[in-house]
Amino acid sequence: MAVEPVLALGRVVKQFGGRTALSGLDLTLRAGEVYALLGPNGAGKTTTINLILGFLKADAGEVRVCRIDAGTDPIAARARTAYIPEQVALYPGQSGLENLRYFATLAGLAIDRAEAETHLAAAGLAPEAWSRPASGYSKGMRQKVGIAIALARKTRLLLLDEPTSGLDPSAAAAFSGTVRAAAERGTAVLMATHDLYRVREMADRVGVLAGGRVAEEIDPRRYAHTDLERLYIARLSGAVT
Amino acid sequence: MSQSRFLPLLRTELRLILRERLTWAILAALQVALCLGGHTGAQRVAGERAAIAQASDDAARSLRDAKEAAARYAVPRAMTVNYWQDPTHAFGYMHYFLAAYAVKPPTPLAVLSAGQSEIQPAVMKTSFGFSTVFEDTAYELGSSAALRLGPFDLAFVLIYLVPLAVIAIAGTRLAAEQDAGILRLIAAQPVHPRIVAGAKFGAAALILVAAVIGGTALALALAGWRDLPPGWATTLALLAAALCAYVVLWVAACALAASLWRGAVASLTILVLTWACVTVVLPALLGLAVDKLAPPPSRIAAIDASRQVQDAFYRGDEAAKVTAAWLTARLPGTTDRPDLRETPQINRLARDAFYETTLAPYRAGMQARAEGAAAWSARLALLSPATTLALTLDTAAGTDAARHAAFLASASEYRRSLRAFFEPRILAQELRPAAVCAGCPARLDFDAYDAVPRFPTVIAADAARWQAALSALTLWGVALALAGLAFRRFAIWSV
Repeated sequence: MAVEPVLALGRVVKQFGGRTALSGLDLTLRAGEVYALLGPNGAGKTTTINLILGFLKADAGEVRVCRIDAGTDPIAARARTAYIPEQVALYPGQSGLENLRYFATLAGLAIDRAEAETHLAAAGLAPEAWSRPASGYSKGMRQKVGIAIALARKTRLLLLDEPTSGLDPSAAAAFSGTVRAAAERGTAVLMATHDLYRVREMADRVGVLAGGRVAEEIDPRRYAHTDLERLYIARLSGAVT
Repeated sequence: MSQSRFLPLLRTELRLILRERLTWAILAALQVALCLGGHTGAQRVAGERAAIAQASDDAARSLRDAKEAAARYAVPRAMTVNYWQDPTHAFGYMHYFLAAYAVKPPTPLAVLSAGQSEIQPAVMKTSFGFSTVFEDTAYELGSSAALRLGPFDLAFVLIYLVPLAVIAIAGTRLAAEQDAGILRLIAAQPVHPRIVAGAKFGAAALILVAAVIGGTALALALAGWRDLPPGWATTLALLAAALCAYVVLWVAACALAASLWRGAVASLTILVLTWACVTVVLPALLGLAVDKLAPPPSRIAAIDASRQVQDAFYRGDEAAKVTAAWLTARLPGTTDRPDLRETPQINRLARDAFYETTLAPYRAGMQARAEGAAAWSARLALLSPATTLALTLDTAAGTDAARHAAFLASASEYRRSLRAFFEPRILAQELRPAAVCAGCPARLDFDAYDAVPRFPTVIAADAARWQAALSALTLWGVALALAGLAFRRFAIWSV
């Protein structure tokens, strides 16, 4: 019996005015899988994430999260989706702990302080930072609170938008570990990124987004980092070998 | 709206707002402003009460002096008093002893608003023998729709500063999150934007309503306001409802501005411009409209008419003719008493009646204008929330134009009633003079001092109650309409 996909995008078309952002995007993601969506700026990565979160409606095709149409029932789709944006912005006057509890409340969860601390610890935020105002947090620390919010949600799908951009190597490595751990717990992970090094480290599959669709899917473990980069550039320039 | 999601969010938003230093700074400044406003109002009311007490003392003293003089002159004594020194002479008493005042006492809620009180007197001495159209010679009626930057009273704080406090606290809710990038993370949660907006602006509304109502109550208490006479509790409750609506209305305006998704700077710009339009521009236009709809007659023309009527009376033998006609109309059987026409008292009474009749159209025009302007002001005030609340506070404080117009009409009526009281007594004394006793200095026998009509002071609670009810209904209607518009616009996130 085939496992039901957590995320299924079928022939998705999205246009903005006269510009086509997505022209028949197909993408399927199963539980425990980490899928990296590669593509240059403007390739449609963020549009894809916005469609999954229900911020945009597809002009054609369908976007389903756990069989729920994200276009018609975005709130139900978001209930099964956690999202970490490229720049995690928090309430600066509130601590990491308070931010986490606030976003959990938004998601309809009532988590106590102990549970919130567990998630912050799992996300790798140092305990001395938990109660400090987020105004003093580095990008990496804010990212960790974003991860903690996602972990607290315990969703089946995790969306990451340029998750390692701006992180120092150790923070990026820790982040990779956290994502892999989530995948091992059965979470499906879709990340839009440029970071080929982390892609190779984290992703099970890589989709190269070009011309508004997945031009090719690659198994990153079959390639060394430099080969992966060469292959990615070649796909974008159309010089397929 | 999911209640299970909304209430925890509302609690969280309340905590968030109350933890902001800016919130406390704004609320503290607002509280200080309310207390200062209350203090200004209390001082004004104390001044009015002192003026009224002084008028009352003056009336009592003049009555006491008259009675003492009447008793002194009622025993035989070798002295002569003139009629203007003699309280037993009805004419002399009316013109030279009587101190009669028309009084507009402050209402129980007078502390709230100075309204028109700074340009319109609460006490006017009733006088006779002047050819004037005006009961109050030094004051000009104003339009209550034309909100002016008047004294720093509670009404000023509530009408002008409370909306600014609301904008400062609620004006950047959601818009600031949008600018900071937090909105994207909020929108990614499984929650409808209406629930988030409802919690954010609902929390702001709860805090601001509590601050404004509590602050006003504290300001009133510090201003020495304690008791509320029967019939005013409902008015006070309706006023509180109108005030709540005014705050909620501005919070709803903030929500509507946020729903445009233009960011904090644009939201604040839109809201401040709206504030300027609602509290300054629109009331000024309404004031101009009132002047167009109920144009004020020329006071200069009325003053000129007053002078002309004096000239006319004293031109040629006009005075004699007027006096004869007046006397014949009142005492038809006195044609054989030409001496009566020569008496200065009869001559003065006839002259005053001539002035009154000739200037009646000007007086009626002024009164009609005052009433018309007040009526148009009441209607047009509903076009702006600021003028709606201003008129309500003025009416509750008893400092509105309509009450003053009624007060002027009452003062005129009072003067006429005093004349009607004295005229027959003066005529009777002129026809059949009778001394109190032989050899007394007292010339005549007038002693009805305690029967002289008193000015009927009125503090009508009805007008204030109805105006407060109308205001509460109107303001809640506008507030709910704005909230409804914002609710519709928050159908989707804009990220």
